[in-house]
Amino acid sequence: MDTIGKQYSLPEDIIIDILLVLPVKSLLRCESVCKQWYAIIGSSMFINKHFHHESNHTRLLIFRRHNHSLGKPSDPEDNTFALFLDEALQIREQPKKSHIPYAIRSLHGPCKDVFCIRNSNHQLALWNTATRRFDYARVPQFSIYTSKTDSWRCFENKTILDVHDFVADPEHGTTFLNGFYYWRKRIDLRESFLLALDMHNEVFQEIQLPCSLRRGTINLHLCNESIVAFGRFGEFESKVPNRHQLCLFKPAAALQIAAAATTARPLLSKLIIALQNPSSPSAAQIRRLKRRRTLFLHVS
Amino acid sequence: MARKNRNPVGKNVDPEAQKKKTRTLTLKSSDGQEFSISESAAVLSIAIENMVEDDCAGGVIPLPLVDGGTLARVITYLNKHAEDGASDEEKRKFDEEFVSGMEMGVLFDVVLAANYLDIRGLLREVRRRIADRMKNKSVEWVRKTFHIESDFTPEEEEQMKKEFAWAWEGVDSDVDD
Repeated sequence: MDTIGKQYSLPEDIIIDILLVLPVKSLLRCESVCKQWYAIIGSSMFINKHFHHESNHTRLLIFRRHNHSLGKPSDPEDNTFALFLDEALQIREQPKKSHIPYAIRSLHGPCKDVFCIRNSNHQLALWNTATRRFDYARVPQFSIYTSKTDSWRCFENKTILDVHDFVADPEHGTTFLNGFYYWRKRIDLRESFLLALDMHNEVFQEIQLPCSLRRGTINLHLCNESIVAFGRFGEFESKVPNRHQLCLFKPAAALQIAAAATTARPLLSKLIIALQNPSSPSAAQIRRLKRRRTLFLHVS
Repeated sequence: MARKNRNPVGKNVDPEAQKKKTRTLTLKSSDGQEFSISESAAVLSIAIENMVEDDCAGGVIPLPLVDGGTLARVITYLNKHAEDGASDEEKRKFDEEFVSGMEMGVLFDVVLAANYLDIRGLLREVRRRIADRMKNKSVEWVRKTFHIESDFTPEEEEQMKKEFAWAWEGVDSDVDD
């Protein structure tokens, strides 16, 4: 056997298992080793397995949004990003200006590692935080991007959508879980519900929110295998945690709200520590890029 | 598989596990070397366990795909993991030291043997070690180590490098550690 390892390359299944343990940065280099490796690393089977692999660490994206101050519109130039590459929030990476050339107005997602970004010129771009690819896209309104074919497909069913759901309301987080994309649909100032879009068949489902979350601002994010709807209200007491309402739900079968919680103190206090940056403006959003231990925060 | 037994002189000893500990098997490598090993250690390899269960062992188990040097290493690993009273922490430390001194060629031999003998823990450990070694290495180093010749044109290679230039930053020198 001493000779086998030295003269011949390893069988493909062992190679795949070794590559699965490597970080994305190494994989991007390994793609150019040979065509076989290029095909392995680029396959959707491999990408999916790697995304869920235990060695693929949770990353954390913090997006600071400058809020409207009275009488003044918010300036996207004031919005900033920081990408943390490890759980302990030690390794921090500031996306370079050359990397993201315009100020970011809003961000949607993530769908796996990919965020959809809108810049101050209202251009859309896809930002893959794992490979750090940043691609501008000319997109017709209401379309679905398929990474496999690198193409955009227009929606058939447009009646339920309103451009304001996305564009005029960048503060309302949208999120993706298990093949569904979720966002808030507002009926009027007093009433809103969640829309869930099945990405495979483009069928919409409506999810009722608890009464307390139907008004005010809501952000949707991931928390483990659940969606978190996180609301902010003026009428609550002034301490930060109390002003927020948190609703966790498992969107699995019936798309029912399984549990509503009004206190989220452990979650919040952990994240507020992570966010302490004295020079920061008024708002911040945190998104974990992984489903495991996914956390999010929106404070003001 | 043998039940973990931390109290060999106690009353509730599983007689089957006890038998496995005292029974020895002989493993024969591709180059004809023979190794004695307790059955409880040997059956940590799913492949050997199957052979024992099917009763095709018949005293000596031939392993024509594993040479003597590699088999000796694998047996060291199996003995440690079958040891009575070895804590998980001890085993973890042992695993780390076990693979840390191995050259890439040896790691390849062991990963092939662990794959063939179906020893999950060893396979995971060696895979991780190989990945760790190649993590910060250049494309050329990876090709040389895995005995792969590039089938890309220089233009294609240049294009890939350009597309994800950041991934080529901070690569170690090709000197093996």
